Amino acid sequence: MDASIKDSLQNIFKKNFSLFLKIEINGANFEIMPTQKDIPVVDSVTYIKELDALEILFKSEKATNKSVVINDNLTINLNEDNQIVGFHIFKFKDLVKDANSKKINDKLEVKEHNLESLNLKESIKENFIKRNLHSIREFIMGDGTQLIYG
Amino acid sequence: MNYKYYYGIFQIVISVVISIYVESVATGSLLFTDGILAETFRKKIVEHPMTVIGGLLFLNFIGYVLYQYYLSKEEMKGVYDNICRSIFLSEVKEDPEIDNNKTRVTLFKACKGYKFIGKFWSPKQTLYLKQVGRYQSTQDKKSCKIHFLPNEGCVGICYNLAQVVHQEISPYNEAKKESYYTTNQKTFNLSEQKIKKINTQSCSFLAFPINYFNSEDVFGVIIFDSTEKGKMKKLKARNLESKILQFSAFFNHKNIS
Repeated sequence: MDASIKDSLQNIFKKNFSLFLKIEINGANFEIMPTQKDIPVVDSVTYIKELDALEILFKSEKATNKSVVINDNLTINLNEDNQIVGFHIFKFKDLVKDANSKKINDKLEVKEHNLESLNLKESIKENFIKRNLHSIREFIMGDGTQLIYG
Repeated sequence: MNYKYYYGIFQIVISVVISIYVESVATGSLLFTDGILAETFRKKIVEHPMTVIGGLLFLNFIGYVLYQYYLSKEEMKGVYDNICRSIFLSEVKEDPEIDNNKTRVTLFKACKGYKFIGKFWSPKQTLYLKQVGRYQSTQDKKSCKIHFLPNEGCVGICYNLAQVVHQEISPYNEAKKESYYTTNQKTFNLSEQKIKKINTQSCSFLAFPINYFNSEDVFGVIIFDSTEKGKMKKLKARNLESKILQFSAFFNHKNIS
């Protein structure tokens, strides 16, 4: 793995986890930003040729416990505390082709829930997922292609 | 409050009482109590010197323990005030867009205790956040009189979320203070009683959760607030957080008291 690719993704995560995003609490909109310790630390970024999949793994003290399939393109890896510890993005070559179109947004998205039905913990988790996926989309539109074509 | 003086007075009182008692035992009659205490009781006190002296020494020991407890609390308050001061001077003071006189930094610590809460205002053990440190450049320094419950006020919400929280509300206007109270009530889930106790009517807030040193548990919250709208959003949140993290070794009393 090219270290610069990993750094590039890490920087995108840092940037997107340093933005204030709106969240609804007690019926009022607040802007929240994760703390520094909540920024995912990228352990590896690998393109698995046989699976045509991009594997992004975060550093975590606890091992991956389960995977949640979101759609044909996206699987989220969680540890036993239900924290996100990685992503698998399938049909990666097609995604890279669509990188500059709006299609990528639909493919790499966890459909929004009705905010009112979410409790605070779930809202925070959703907020984290949004930041993660936004970062991955940004990465694919930028340096992601290098993983396939070098 | 200067605990040194209270403890000093307490020790003098104990010493005087012991001296009078020793003299009383020597003369066989309890001094200065004639006509005040019952004769049999006075006799009993004089006849049991070991018990009485032991009791007085035990009282002195209790006084010493309390003194040490409050002294360390007082010292920590000084440390927390200095942390707020240091952060303010390095990250806020030089910012040309921030009016120093309208901004302050306050540190709240999560404590456990009994509060009159719920539908029937019955005493319940709960977590609450109380001010332990503050810095502001204006001389009219006032401490926060409110204890915030988690999810109450920007402080409580920040504690609950364990995320950096930013919020703006409409500025305070003397002619329309009811509107300020209502916004505060709706946005921060604060009771009218608590809102009226607020001594500075801020409208711009930026709150950071603080963890116990080397732990995932939240120690409390440090909040920057201003009476000028939109000002706290101009602060560089990540820089502020890095500065706060430099003091993390001071947030090390693991037991919530």
